Amino acid sequence: MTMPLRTICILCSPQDKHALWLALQLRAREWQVEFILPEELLVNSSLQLRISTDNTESILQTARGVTLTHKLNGVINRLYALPPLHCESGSEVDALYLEEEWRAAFVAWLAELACPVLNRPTGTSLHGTICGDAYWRYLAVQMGLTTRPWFASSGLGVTESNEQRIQIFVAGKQVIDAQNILSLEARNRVAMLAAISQLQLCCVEFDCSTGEPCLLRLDPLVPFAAGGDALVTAIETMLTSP
Amino acid sequence: MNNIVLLLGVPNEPPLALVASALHKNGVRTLIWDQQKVTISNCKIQIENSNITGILSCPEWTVSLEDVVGVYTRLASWATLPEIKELPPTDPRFTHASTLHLILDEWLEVTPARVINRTSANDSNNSKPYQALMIRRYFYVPETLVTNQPDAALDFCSRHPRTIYKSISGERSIVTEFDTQDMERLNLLQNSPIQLQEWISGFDVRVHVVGDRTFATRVESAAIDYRYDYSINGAGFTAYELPADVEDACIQLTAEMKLGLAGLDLRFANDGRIFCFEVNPSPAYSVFESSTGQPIAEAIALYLAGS
Repeated sequence: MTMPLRTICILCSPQDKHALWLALQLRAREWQVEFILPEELLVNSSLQLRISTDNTESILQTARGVTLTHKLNGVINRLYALPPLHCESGSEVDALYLEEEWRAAFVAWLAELACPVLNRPTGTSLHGTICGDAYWRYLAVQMGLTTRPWFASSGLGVTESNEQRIQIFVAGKQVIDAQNILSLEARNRVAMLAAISQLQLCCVEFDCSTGEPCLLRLDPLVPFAAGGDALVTAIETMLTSP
Repeated sequence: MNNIVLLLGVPNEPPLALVASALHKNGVRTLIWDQQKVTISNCKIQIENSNITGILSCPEWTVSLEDVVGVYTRLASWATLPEIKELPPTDPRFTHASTLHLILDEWLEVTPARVINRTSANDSNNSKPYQALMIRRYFYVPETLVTNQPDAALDFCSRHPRTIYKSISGERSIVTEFDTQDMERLNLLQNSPIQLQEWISGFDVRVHVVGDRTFATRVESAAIDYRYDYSINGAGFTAYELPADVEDACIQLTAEMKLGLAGLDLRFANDGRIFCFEVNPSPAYSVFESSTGQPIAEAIALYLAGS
């Protein structure tokens, strides 16, 4: 089947209730939403990715006939992990190799899809940039955002304090801060932090236990419902922007 | 003690040992953390605003991490260390090793010291076609097909006089020429995709980039993959002078990938085009240095020391 206009694909696990919520919202706004599960990418799928010096072409077709090409309006990429693979050899090493090969193939495919992909993968991470907590705080400080001290020890692990976590959301240049915890300037800085981290769509966690919001981390796996209608509208804007 | 260069890995591993020797020769204060001692080492880090402090200690020494100006990491996968791999995940030594490596990795990402190389900079090497998308801004890349479809693979091979295949991920594989025997195995592709590339006729040049310095080595080999040349004489290595524009492209590509050290696999094609197959963020340069006398380890040492 060839996809009509205003069609997007959500790559997610079968248990991803956040993806389901977003799909319902987008369908109510007359988007056609097609779910592709990780298993469908692997079992009897057909992948062709052609790369040359000045051109890239790709086509992915699932066993039930869904074709993903550059004609898509967008992809919501929540492909956190591929399902465990088994080899006829029974070897765990072979299975891990196989998983790495599939992951590396899908990374390149998602990286080069012509339509908006929220978010693009990195070489290592299928669903977008992931960093350690120390690095997020380091980047936040570089952007002029407030953070709390971070301490880790090989004897004690990472020391967690009592945090009052509040989430805000970045979708392109828009920052959805429903509880108004950030100043306009801080929102702009958060948007810049997401942009330099190559996360077009992300959740940003702050700790507000001491009054002043302190950035904890960015997460590409967004709990959409917490962002409400404003987040859905922002995502629509990203999917329809050239 | 400050202005310390820290080496992380197994001390007698040739690339690490050569850099240690070069640092010593240049009078640079150097500490080698033996990864095999992970279960009897400790690491602590504190980050407060832009102030990053911490210590790394082993039975022989303790270093303040803020005194470190350069780090060369040749860390092996910690779970495969002989000291660890037989331990159950519930063993406190297993947990300790995991935590220490996680903390070290966090520190390597944020330290202002020069690091060869940060984990984040190694990222693109985990998917060769993904990396090719960056490489092609500077060099030609071979026509490539990643597929799990036997028909598509056959069609691709029929369009090129010669074709090779290799792994898609960062997992090491032997580059192999596609031949008639492989046709019988194509039905296996449904289970695992493959990366096919047109064969490029020409000669190989391995370029090691260290900061803004380059060391190019021409490789003479009749093997498809010169790393696995089992002929009597094996692959031959000779120092090679790069054209200035190619040297610039190597340096720029390496810098764009935020790598302090990289090994670029180039092929100078017979038709004059220059292809780049891969940028290796953790090159075992020592083989090339011992064959050509190029002072790669010294360049790494000077880079780490801030020169």
